[in-house]
Amino acid sequence: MWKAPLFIIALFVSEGVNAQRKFTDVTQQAGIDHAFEIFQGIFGGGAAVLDFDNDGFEDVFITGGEGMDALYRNNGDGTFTDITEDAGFEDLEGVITQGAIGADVNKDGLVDLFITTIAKVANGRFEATSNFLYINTGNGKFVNRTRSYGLDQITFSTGAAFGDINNDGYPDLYVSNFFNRFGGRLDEKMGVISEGDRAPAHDLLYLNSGGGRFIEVSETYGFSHTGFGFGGVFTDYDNDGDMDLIVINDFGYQATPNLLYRNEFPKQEFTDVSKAMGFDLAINAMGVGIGDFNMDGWLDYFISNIASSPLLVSQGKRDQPFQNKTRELGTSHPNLHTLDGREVSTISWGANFFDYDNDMDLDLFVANGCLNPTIFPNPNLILENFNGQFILNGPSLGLSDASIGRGSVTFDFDNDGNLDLLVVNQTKIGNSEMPFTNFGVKLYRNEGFGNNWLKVKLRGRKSDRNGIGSRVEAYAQGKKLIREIDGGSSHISQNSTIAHFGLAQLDRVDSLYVRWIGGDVQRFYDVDVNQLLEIDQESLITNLEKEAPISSFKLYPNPTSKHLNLSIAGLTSPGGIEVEVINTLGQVILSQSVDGESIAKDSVLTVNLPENLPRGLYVVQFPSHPSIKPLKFKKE
Amino acid sequence: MSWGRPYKGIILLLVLFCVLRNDLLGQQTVARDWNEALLLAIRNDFARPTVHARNLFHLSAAMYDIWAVYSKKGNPYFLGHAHGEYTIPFKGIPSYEDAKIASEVAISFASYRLIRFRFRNSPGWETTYAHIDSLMEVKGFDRTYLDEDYENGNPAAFGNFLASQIIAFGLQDGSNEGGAFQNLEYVPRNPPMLLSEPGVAELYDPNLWQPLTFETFIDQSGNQIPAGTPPFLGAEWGKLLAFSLKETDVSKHEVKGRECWVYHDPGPPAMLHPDDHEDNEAYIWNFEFVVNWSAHLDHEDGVMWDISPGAMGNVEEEEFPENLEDYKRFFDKLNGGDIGKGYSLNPFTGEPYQPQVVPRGDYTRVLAEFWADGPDSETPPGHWFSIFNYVSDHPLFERKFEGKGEVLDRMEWEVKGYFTLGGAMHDAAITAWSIKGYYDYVRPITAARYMGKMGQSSSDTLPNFHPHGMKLEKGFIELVGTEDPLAGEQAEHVGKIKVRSWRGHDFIRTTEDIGGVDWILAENWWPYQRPTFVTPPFAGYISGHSTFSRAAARVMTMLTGDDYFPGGLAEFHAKENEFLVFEKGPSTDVVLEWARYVDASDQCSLSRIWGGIHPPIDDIPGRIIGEKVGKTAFEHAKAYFEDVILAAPSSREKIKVEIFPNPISAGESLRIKLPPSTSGYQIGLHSTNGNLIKVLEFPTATGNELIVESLGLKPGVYLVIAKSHHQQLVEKLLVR
Repeated sequence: MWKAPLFIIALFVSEGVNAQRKFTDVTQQAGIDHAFEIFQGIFGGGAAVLDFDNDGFEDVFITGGEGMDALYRNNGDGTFTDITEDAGFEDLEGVITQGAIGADVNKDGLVDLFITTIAKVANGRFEATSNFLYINTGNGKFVNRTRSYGLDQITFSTGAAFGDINNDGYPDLYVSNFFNRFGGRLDEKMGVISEGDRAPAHDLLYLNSGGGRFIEVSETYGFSHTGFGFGGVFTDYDNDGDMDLIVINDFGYQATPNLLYRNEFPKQEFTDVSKAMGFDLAINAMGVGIGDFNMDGWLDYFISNIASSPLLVSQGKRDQPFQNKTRELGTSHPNLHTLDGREVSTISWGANFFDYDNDMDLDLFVANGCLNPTIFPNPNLILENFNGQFILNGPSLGLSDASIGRGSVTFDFDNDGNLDLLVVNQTKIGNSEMPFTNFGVKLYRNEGFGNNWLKVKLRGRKSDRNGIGSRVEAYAQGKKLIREIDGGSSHISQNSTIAHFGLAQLDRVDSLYVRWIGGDVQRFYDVDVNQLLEIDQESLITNLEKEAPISSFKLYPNPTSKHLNLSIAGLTSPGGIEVEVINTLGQVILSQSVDGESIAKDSVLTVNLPENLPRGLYVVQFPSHPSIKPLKFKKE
Repeated sequence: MSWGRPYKGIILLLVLFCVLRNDLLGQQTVARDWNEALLLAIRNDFARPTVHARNLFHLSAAMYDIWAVYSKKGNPYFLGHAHGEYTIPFKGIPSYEDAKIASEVAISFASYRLIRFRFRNSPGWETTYAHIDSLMEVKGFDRTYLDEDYENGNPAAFGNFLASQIIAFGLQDGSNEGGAFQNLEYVPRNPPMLLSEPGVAELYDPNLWQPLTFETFIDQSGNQIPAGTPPFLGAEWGKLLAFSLKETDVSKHEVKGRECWVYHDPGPPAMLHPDDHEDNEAYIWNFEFVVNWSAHLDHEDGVMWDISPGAMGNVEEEEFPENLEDYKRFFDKLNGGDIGKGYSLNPFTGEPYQPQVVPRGDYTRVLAEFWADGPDSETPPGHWFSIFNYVSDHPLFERKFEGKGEVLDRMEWEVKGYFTLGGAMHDAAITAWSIKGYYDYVRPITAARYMGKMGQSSSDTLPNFHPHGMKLEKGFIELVGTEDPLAGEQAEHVGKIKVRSWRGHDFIRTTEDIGGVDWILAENWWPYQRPTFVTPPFAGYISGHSTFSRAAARVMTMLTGDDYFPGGLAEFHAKENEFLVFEKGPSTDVVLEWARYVDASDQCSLSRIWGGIHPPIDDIPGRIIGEKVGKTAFEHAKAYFEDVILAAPSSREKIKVEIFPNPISAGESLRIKLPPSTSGYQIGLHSTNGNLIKVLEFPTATGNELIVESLGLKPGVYLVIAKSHHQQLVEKLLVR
């Protein structure tokens, strides 16, 4: 019986809870004062998240365009200090930088930086110039080693990405270029760009040779395309344990559309599967957000664009094309309303999948910005994942800034378990009617949504030092959450290399897998939440692993040629079960989810094996149920 | 009366003041508070009639449901009922000592959560959030209370639960709310019109809708690149889950591989063809009509009209035109107005209505502004909620359902009224937009400029002849001659079409200016609308204003059981030189007056013609269809109000009386089946207002099935009610 309700007595007491559930612009109080200074028009602005001094607080390098770039050291108290001047970046003066990425290229335990440049200005003219590799020598110092590492080609570059394509443990490098030649001005003819004096460019693929030198191997690996490139992104789209490559091309309808290259490792070869996989989008592609937003175990890709941005959804099979479901799933917002009520075309650049509210599913941030010098307010978008469909979340969340956005990155700068955001914004040039005066980089602190989380930091030994390209998989409450460590994505930027999982109200993760590029797999059971877990590739057996197998299924027939039957009588798992077939190298051949209803109904699961599966020994394992013993079988 | 106009700050203050005052006096209900909060949110949002009809319906249904389950009256709409593929689970609520307070708490939390969610992307979210936050504070509620587990006994949790369920329901109801209500398949077939340029772009088809481009940027080669082109709002709205619309009302069509659902399909509008002379004439007449009426927007032309109910209004549905000749008789193309001659007496006072003579140019401008659905407006569905509130507050009004029986308390009257009106507005939106999305019909700004560009169709012996051109009409539509002030410096406009019309925004620098009426080139023709709005971003046919308003007028008439406004008159005062928004005026005080609800609706329809956004061919079908929609929605809502003792909250099987065939033709036998192992039911056939028409005897010998030979009923909706001592089962029966 309801009498004197407590909530009426509790008047105003908990005011402020609502106010906390948002992002706060903390740029100023964090001591960040930086803007990307645009040269003539359009191009640039990215950031790379890195912990250059290994103090456990992630730092950030932000390009400056015509202005100076900035390395901000995270002081660990919510503030940053610009240490560019003493860090050794003098050679960046006078060049027009674009994007930045970080990786430990020489495996000395310190993250190095690669910075792309569109041009330098010489005698008032716009000239191609080389990019920059800065080797981190410790104590806050970086040394320009571009030439000795073989990276001093003269190019008009935009974005780049690190990824280990030959599984040798050293991060290789893809550099994307925009023009081969360029003789005009960047503020001219923005809508029509392919003329004789501004031909689309070849991109460059470099192999990292033992950490001491990069060797250009574009042709060896089968790259001959030219395009108005905005970056390459290494990712394992087909779950076969190697780094494939997405190439982002602007003006795809005038030159080359986007490309998807499948890595044929161990062969030294990439195959162009753009068309077959539905990646050949002839659009104004600007960047990529990567994430398995629908938790089916396969990565999906949001390609930022002008007007409607495609959301390429994996069909869960490696030979079926991705489907663009952006309209159905609510990530397409071709027009935006400005706060004064005007409707303008959306121009999207940075894109980041991240679980901002720690509710287990991946949400999406999109950094928007008008063309520059033509200025229309173009507010950013924050799209919340609502049962696999996205809904636009409004300005009350604090992210609908209408600055001239470009690259955007996520990281947890204050180590509170909530992913924060940094957006690189351009200064305006020319006449404009922007309704504000602040055009700089913005840092948004995530004030938290009251949920649990887990962060995982990888320490590679055989593999890339920071685990770039490796997968971290968390199984909790029958769900499989996967994260791929970023070597460069969004728009000419790079997110944190620490994997982050939101866990809603769960107090433990059933199991955690690390699938290293190169094939090592580590498993951890019953992992506590609200912690940063550091996983060293060397300690393959760690004290986190607990005694596990308590039950097993029967598997028949064995040997088999076509299918497997698994007797699962007695299993109750409303959240379903994941079944994986792996080969002796640890590569996943097949992955299948069975929902809880089928488990309750059937006592036998049937797994059909791929027809072309080579004969040999295989293992069936159950990543969602680590306590169930993996089973071996022989394919005839 | 003071509804509808966007003096936002003042309204906000007034609302706050009212909340404070009425809370102290206990006059204004929470239902009213939250309805007004929603209207405020709508005024601060984008002008999206479809979206807001749905918002009004969902919030009204939430309030009604909460009231129904706490007061144990009627049958809830959402709770425990399937709509489409979604059912909001309902386990029943505990009893409360003070069910009234409990329902007020639940309504407040449900409304607060729903408004907060639905307006999170609104340009006016800060104002809206500030208002609803303070409303919660004033009521002493903790708005940070988020629990949804209502079995804890807290009605606030029940409100939160219902809001979150309706939010989830709304994300799968076909509106694509998740995707910001964008179309999934529709693509406009004409290239956009650049509003910065005169004339019209090369059209793919002059019968089809054309997007408008407001913002462009110019690259260095001088190309105009569209940067802001509002897409068609709600082209696929016909596929939404409706309130009372039935599958039998739908016809399905295919356009370019896109399946369109069209409710109450009125058939195609007038179109231009290469050879169909008759249809061409109807098209040209309709869009010229809008241009001609635009010439009435001059308060200094000396034309004076009596705008009281004594002189205008009072049009019966039977008088609505059907073909072009009828249209020509029904409307006065050159002088304005329709066949309505008004009422000789006010039936309430028994006296004639006082004449009110004002300049036609003031009346028409006030009318166009009053019913505007652009920025800062409640949109037509919202207008009719304000009208409902106005009527409810009227001192001469008695809160009797259908004007009969006992006086209802405020809360019951309002939740039932909002629910009915909300359902009707939602259905009106679905119906009108299902037709808009399929026929994709052109708007006057495109058609007028297109015809002007083609030339004249009066005579092939005159210059600039084209069968798609305008018909010349001396004093209204003429050719530009060499001596004409519009000829241009190089005589570049000679031979073009000029029209006598409102001159447009080029003549308004500040809101102290007046556009005025004069000759302009047809290629420069503008509707009488804000420059940032120009024309609503969706096809014209059929008029949403006409459909909404006629449906709402029908609902108001049926709800109150009276054709007339309380006291036989409703008024709206537009102050001299204050009321108009983008230009100066009116030159004198103007009072909009209506005797019957349909008079307000008809004036609303005409206002869109003077406003330059609908020709008569958009208007009349909207009125006819609105009538049907309003009637059906009212009957449908009323069936929910029948008192049904809800099955106790347990896992008991759903007991249902089955009737078939349904619908039934008059004279056919009806079979009624009760579930097995039930007995002691008395079965009756009732009218929808609950009156018993016939007791149906249940022969025990044939078990649970009863066959009733010819019922001899007139076509309509009836209720079959099976009563036992502890239960009442109701089924609707449609007789054709």
